[in-house]
Amino acid sequence: MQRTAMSRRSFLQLAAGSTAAAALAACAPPVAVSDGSGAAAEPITLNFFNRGGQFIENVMDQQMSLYREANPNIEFEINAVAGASHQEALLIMISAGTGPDMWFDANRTTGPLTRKGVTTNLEPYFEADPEFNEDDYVENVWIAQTYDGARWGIPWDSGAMLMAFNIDLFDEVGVPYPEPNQWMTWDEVVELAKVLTFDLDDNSVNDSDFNPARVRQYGLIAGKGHGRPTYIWANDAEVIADDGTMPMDSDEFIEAMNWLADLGLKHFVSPSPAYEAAGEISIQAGTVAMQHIGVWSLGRINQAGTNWGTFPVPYNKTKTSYGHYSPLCVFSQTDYPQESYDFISWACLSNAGQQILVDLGMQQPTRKDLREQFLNNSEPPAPEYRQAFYDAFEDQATFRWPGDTIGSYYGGWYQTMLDFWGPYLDQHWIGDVRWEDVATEVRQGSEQILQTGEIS
Amino acid sequence: MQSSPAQSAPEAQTDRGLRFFQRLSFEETLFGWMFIIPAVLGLLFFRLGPVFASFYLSLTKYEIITAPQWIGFANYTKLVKDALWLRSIEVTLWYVTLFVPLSLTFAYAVALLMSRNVRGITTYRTLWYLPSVVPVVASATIWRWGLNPEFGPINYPLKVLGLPAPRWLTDPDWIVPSIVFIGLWGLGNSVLIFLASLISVPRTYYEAAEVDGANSWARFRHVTLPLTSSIIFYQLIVTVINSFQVFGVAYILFVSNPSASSAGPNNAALFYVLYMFRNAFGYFRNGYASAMAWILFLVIMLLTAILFYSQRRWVYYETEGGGS
Repeated sequence: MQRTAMSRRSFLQLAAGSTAAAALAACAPPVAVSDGSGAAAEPITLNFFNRGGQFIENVMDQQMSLYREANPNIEFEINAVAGASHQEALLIMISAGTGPDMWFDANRTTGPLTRKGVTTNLEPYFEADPEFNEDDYVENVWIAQTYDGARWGIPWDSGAMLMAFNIDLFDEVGVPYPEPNQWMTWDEVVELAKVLTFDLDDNSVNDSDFNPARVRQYGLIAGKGHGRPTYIWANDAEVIADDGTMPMDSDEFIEAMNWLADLGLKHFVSPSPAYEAAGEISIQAGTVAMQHIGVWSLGRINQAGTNWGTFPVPYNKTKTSYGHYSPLCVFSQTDYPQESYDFISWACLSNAGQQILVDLGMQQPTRKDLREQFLNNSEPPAPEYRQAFYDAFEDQATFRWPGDTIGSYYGGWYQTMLDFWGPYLDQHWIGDVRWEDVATEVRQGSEQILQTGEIS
Repeated sequence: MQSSPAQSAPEAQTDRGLRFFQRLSFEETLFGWMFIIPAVLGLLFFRLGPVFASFYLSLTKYEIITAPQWIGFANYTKLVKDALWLRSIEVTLWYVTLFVPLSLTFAYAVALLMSRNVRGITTYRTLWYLPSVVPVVASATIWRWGLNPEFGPINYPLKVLGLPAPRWLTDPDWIVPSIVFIGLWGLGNSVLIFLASLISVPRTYYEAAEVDGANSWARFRHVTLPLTSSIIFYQLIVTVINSFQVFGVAYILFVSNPSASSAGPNNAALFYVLYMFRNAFGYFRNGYASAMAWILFLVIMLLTAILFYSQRRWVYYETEGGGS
């Protein structure tokens, strides 16, 4: 058999030609294939951007599965980011031209995103939706998504914030449980927390040998994040006054902030960055007796098997309660605005969608007709403790929200304010400064953000 | 064709190079270009293109989803008055000042140890290199535990011995040193490069120095250091460039940790690139962030140029004035 040798030149020519042909084929547009069946519901893939970790993903998966049963032409493509960096991930996707059709937003980021034109105004969709009836929903559930008189997201998770207490830890010490409608003062809760705080040698705070650097169980975690304003208002101070100023240097504000820091620095009943702990400190980890929580933690606390109850957040001068919801939002440049709205309204507002949220402990229902289902759920806490969530949210004599004096949740600049406050708060919680040392500077910067959205 | 004896070595080499290209046929030239065009196009579109685009954006107000608005040099003038920008420069310079000399010295010292021919040296080299393959997220997470002031493996023995135990990640004065410390843990690549350079020093130089009566320090100072100075110079350039762009560890330890603040107490972890990232993807100020990027680029270029100028005084290249 005669062997034909290929020259190097010929080989190179063949290789170059094949590569060019392959590149041209890859760049060719796809050809639509008709199956001859005529017009049918066009399959649509909705891109959903999720956040918050595995628990929330499981909840969303259940909702999507149920939704698909009634809407088989809808497919979901899910991107998920756990942790606090979801905003950056979302913006990177948008800047790359691959923004999701809808996403699970945080109450702190909806405002800035809305002001930058990323979210869709949902008012026209509500008006056109025959299923939507304002009276079906509890008052105040829209506060964190309302800007300039319109709603830009639909509440998906959360609700009221309360103090949760670990019944077993109270039993170990033999301390009576707080009543679900019992309003404790700051002094009372600190004294209670002291008998519930133990170091690794089982010394309590009241013992002379107590070592604050080696604590195994804390008595109290006050809300220093979402819940922090509750303590400000409870001391008759204001975060945002009705004249648009932010009196963060008032005597009452300073007192409240210093009290929060002293829980860890002086009373040693709360964890503090001055004495970092080795492991997780939370009510579900069994390492704290009382913790300021949101109802969105209900499912995760139950998942840990904690036996728990609730009571109102302690006050100093005025009884105060607080709650908010985090929304599902629709991207302003989605190709499927109606389909996206249809899903998020089903997930957030429909009876079937909300039942999943309530059953899995993600939400204090926004629907009035799911109230009994929430109250009588077989999972902890007991009904009287669950009622406390509604009492906190619906009692107009105590309920406050940041910006209620100016009609806008932190003026729409919550995330920007958090970024500005962060370094000051760190110094404060560690004990390097007292609040009066930084109050004026924080006030000036915060008022600038409220007026301009700019830190500097 | 032999080069003229009267020509110096570099001139002869250039001459030979030109003659090589002149001998190429048209077809060989064509195929040469065909093979490098993908890389050239990639460089143009994916490297230089975005660089020039970012310069344009730095002269605009750009918020990602809206069209850029021309504002001239307003972003640059605004930067000068930005207290946080100045703070980020301060933090970054402090980090560079600490990290560059420490990392070079430490990596070189470890490489010297690893160049010894002792039993188990392969195992030691592997162990020293392993931390450098740990992803930055895992590394930062490990060190968040490791630097725990109460229970971490660094502070616990210090406390037992009654020595000062810093609050590594919560004391503003210790945050940058902590991140330097974490960076030193992952110096495997630098060690490897130094090791390759040390091993390649010809034995004849050491033998000649021994014959002349040089002790170990003299051999190190007059043989090892000069003959590895070119690699030291390369590592210096790379380390300076990389240290100005530190981001990952600081982001994981401070920004992505929900229980932490944005950038540490007193903004002690507000590195330059971290602040740039926050402006771009937290505040929607991409034009402003682009201006920051260009200033960083110019500063690094200037420093690199100064280092290149300085190399004449201390970097020895074996081929300079050497044989053909």
